[in-house]
Amino acid sequence: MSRSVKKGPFVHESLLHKVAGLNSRNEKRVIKTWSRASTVLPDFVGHTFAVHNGNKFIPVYVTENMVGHRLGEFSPTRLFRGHSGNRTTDKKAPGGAPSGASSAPAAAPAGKGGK
Amino acid sequence: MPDPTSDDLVVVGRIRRSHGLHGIVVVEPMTSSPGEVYSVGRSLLAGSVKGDAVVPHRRLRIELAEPFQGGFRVQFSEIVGRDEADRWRDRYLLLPREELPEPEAGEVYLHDLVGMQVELEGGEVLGTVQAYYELPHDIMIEVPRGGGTVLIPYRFATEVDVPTRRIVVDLPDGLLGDA
Repeated sequence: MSRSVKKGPFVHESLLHKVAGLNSRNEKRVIKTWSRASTVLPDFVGHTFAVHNGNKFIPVYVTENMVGHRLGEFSPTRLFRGHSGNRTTDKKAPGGAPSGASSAPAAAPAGKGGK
Repeated sequence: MPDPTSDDLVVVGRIRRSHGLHGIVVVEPMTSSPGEVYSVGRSLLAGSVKGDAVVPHRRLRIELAEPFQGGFRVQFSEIVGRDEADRWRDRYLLLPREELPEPEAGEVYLHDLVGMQVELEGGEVLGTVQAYYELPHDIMIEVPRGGGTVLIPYRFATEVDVPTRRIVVDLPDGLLGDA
């Protein structure tokens, strides 16, 4: 059963306070959190969260596409280390975001097998 | 042409299954340039199911390649018949780095990131890239830090200089965990 609309999206209270504090001071710093179940709100856009995956903190820079998803969706508990030995796949990345964090668009989590 | 060493090879795809009776296989491409890599006349190196190249190196020449269900239907001249094609299931296909298409301006191969030196904009060296991860929302580079490692979103890179093997990052406060 889905969550009651009356309650609104779940966000850990301390997380809300921290984001509100940063927004009021117009400050950007990484917020560490263990609250993987917290929903990404529009206020979170532009902030970076370090979301614990049970082992370490995975930095998550929040973009508009992520609103409505849970923070835990962006902090996988298993990391694929690639193919055996030092074989690597032939994929390309942009050669450095020219204007920092705000330039590169991010996608919402892909479904299983999505590349 | 001398055989490339294992360090010079990159995975460009994986054979998933056979297709039909004539030795055609379905390949899952693992490359940013599938159209160029899977083109008729090109030859790829056969790999094992673990991703290592078969020794001695064995070339597979592409006779037919066409898009199919998100991948490619490929006919290699060295694979004839369904029985032979079934034996190639789950094996990787590789290419020497120098045979990969040149990245366009403003692009870099992910495998080139490994071993690059990561620096802050002020010049402080953080370490060298140990690994990279393709997460759903971002690419992460892993850099050793304080006895462990720290993940840095690639989007914080402001400059990537492949010839000098250097990445400059602009990090928000607290990302390195020592603020």
